[in-house]
Parts: sequence; structure tokens; C-alpha cells
Amino acid sequence: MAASCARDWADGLPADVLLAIFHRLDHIDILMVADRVCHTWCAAARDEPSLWRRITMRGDEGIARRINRCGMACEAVRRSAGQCEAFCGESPCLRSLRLISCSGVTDEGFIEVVKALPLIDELELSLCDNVGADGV
Amino acid sequence: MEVDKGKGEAEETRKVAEADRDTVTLKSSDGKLFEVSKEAAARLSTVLAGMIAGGSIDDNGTDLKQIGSEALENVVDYCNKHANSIPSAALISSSISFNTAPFKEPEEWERKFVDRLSHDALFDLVEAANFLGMERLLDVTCHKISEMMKGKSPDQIREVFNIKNDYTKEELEEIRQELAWAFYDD
Repeated sequence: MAASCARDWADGLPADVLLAIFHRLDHIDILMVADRVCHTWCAAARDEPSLWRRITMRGDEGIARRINRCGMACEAVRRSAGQCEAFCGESPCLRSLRLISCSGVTDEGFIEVVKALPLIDELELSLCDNVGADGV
Repeated sequence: MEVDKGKGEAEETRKVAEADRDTVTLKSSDGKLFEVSKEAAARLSTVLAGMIAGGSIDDNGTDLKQIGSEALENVVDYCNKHANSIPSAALISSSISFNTAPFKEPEEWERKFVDRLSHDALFDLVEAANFLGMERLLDVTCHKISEMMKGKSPDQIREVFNIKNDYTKEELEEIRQELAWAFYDD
């Protein structure tokens, strides 16, 4: 498609529309790209915790080899400013998992997650009231 | 979709009781009139639904001063197409997977509908959908725009959307350093 734009995609879009667009992107794309497009996009990507409430980090194969998923995941959760409710990433090689104040995590969900992570050798659960001794 | 009304025709329209009409007439910022299915308008736009319920629809053309004729034509076209389309099974029973919830994937005709638009027309349509509170159309347009961004570098995105790089070299370097720990390649 030709790039014959007269519209102002940086400052002309209502903020909630820009966020609605970002909401449909993989969070790896937001981290890798949105910050560096322009000031307005950067602010939208950084200062809106609701954008990071449900984090999805898949990325394609090309990207996967170039990034540090752990670092990105930390940055994503940091941007959620405590509002992150769900995190989705593909990491069967995960070795360490720490869940702090995750009251939404239940025995059932916890067991399912741990089964998918065969290499896990370090686990911390703090203030996760809904995971009981049975789950562990 | 555009309705050119002469004086006589406008008079004629006025005589028809509003409640009996199954369409509403909308007027763009540049004064063009468009007719749209009342049922579809009320179902797809919270703003139009409110206007219809509140009786603030003008038979001679409800003023939508914020929306130009090209965008309004697309809005009306979308509403009328929607009125005629039977939702596919996929849309009704759209599986709530992590990635798509709470968004529903666009239908095939909806994809085609936005694919044919220029960048400017897409911009105007997403703005109009936002203004009119058209959640579904916002979904479809935002989905299209996000597709245009996927897999692109900041430079490529600026080129696609004609966005001016308003960063100084120093600022970009600052961002690069802030995020360096999260990237292997930088």
C-alpha cells in the first residue's frame, strides 16, 4: 500500500484509539517498536498500565532469537504497575518461577502451569492464598 | 448510498412519521446526506442508539459535524452491509482464547471492507467509529491497523504511517540504553 498519508498518525489519533490498536499487538512488538516511533507512541506504550493487564509474549522465530525474553517479561510486568492479571508466553525451558501476591492463581491453574514446565527447579510462592498444600 | 434530496423530496420525507421509518438520515460535516438502516445503526453505534432512543434524530439529516462525507459513507456502508450479513458460526461461538479475548476476529467481508481503504480513509474511519461508539467497527479497523504494524521496525512504521521522527539522536540513544538489558541485539 502506498504511504501517501496526510493524516497525523502520531498526534491526531485519539489516545484511546491508539491504545486499542496497541492492545491488538503482541507485547514483544510494543516493547521493541512503539517506544522508538515517536514521543506520543512512546508515552502510550509506557504510561498506560491497562495495556499490560493481559500480557502476551509470543514473538515470531526471527525475533525470538534476538531477544532476552526474561528481560522483556520483567519490563512488561513493570509497565503494568501492579495491574497485570494474566501473562502468556511460550517458555518450556523455564527453570525458575516466582509468584508473589497472585491471589487469582488457584491449585488447579498452578498444577497446569507447572506440568507445562518440565525443567523447573526453583519455585517461590508468596502471598498466593489460593494455592494450597495440595497444589504444591 | 448518498441521497441527494431536492426540496420536494425533503418535504415528502418530513411527512413520514419518524417512528414508521426504518432508516435514519445522517449529515456529514460537508453537508452530504446518507441513509442508514435504523436497526443496524442502533445496534452498531451506542451514540446513534442514544440519539434514536432520545428522539434527537432529524429527518432532514442528523448533523454529524465531526465526520466527513467519505468516512460517513464508509460508516453507513458498513452498517448496511452488517444489516444484511448473517453472523458466521465462527463469530458467534468465537473461542475465547487468551490472545483474542476480548476481541473477535473480523469476518471475511469485514477484512475486505477495510483492506480496500487508503491509509487516510482508514484513519478517518477509525476516528468516526470511535466518535460514534461503534465497538465492532473499531475492532475491525484497529485490527487492520495493528496488522499493518506487525513485524515492522520503528523506521518502517514511521514510513508506513508517515510519522515524523521527533526524537533527537540523544533521546533515541537514551531509550536504547534504557531497554538494552531486555534485548540481545542492541
